[in-house]
Amino acid sequence: MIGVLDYGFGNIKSIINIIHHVGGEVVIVRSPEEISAIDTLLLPGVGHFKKAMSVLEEKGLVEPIKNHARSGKYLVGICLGMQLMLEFSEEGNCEGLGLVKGRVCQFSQNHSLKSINMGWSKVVVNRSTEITKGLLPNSRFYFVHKYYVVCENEEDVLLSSTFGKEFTASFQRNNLIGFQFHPEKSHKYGMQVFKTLTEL
Amino acid sequence: MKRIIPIMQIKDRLMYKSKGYHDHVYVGDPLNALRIFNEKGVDELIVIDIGASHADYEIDYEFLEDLASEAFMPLAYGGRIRSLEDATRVISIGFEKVVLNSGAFLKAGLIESISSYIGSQSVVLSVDIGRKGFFKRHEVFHSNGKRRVNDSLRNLVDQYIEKGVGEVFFYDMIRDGKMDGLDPAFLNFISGEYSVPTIVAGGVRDVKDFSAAFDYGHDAVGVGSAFVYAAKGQGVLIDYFKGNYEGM
Repeated sequence: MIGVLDYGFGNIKSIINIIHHVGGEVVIVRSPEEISAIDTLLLPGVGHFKKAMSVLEEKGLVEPIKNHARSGKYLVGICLGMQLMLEFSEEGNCEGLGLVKGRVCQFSQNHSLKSINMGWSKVVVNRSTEITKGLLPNSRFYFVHKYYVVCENEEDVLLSSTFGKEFTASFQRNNLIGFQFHPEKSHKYGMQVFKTLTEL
Repeated sequence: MKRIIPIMQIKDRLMYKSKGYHDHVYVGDPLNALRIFNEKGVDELIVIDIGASHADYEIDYEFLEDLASEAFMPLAYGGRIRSLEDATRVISIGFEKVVLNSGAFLKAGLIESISSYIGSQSVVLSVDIGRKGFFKRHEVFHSNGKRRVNDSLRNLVDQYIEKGVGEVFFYDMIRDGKMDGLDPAFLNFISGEYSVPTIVAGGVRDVKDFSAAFDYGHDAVGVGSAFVYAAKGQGVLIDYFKGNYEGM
């Protein structure tokens, strides 16, 4: 059973819709008890890193999420959710959940004139796993972000994309997965990602 | 990749197309149009509630939820967003971005409070461009085209990017609904290097307008009439095309 965490950040309705659309089941989880009852935990997110972390702390969700990660069950972060799984973010100069080694940095002039990566981009598969096997050929996804993930361990990078320079579009470290793009808003390419997640 | 974005105008849960900015013509059912756009794999969709200028107006969250539930592409919503709560609620329903016009100009601190919570990547500033005065010079307007902004476009945009705007939507009020193509004078007036993505719209007719906009360095083109009418002066036909920008 997939559970999507509702902590006030992000468009959980879209995630629920697309999972239903691909024939999967999903429940909304809000409490530690509800988190421990599901198999795959989705951590969505649209918003400010520091605010999101403080809300997770206030709601007592940090330990339950970490426990879920330690249990070996899948934890899938989307956009801000992916970034929260890292150790630190420049957005607010704030510590994250620290589940995956690395940090979140801001796009600088070194990447592109624009400070925000907004739009559809293709991805390159760095490693083949149960997640990438299901991807449609020439998959492209919708990105909308100002900050990006830098994994400390190169082998954690699952998918790369380009915004001026190459950046991490997705990571996977065993049961810990992150997607910088919005698979729930990437048409058939995103549907395929959720189909794969329902089959884990 | 450049983006081609249909703009859907709604009022009282019906779909309209504006002309000359103030006339509204009924064109059909928004849910139906959204389903078609979904099937055609549009890059994004912008939904603007043009009924939102009435004094007693409240955001129709229920209807927006219905729309969002059918959409597997990124969505932006504009219309009477006046508080952080309005913005976060719209995002939680399934929209990726909120579009602000009057609210941004009339309510001090609104852009800052919204962007510091949902992130500037989700905050779009809608800038209406019209003409005023004896010399018919281009000027910036807001609040349904009724109020003029007393500042240069460059200063204005830079200020708002500073406050936390992550995308700027330039709209040619004069060419609105006419399908006469993007006005070169309008494109000239708004030209410049912006540190955030920009969208241009108002009068787009065909792929030549896409090229013109992208030649000026814009990231996206908003299309109203050209995706709603079969051709200028003809009946309603919901469509989508990207021309040479397919897959780009």
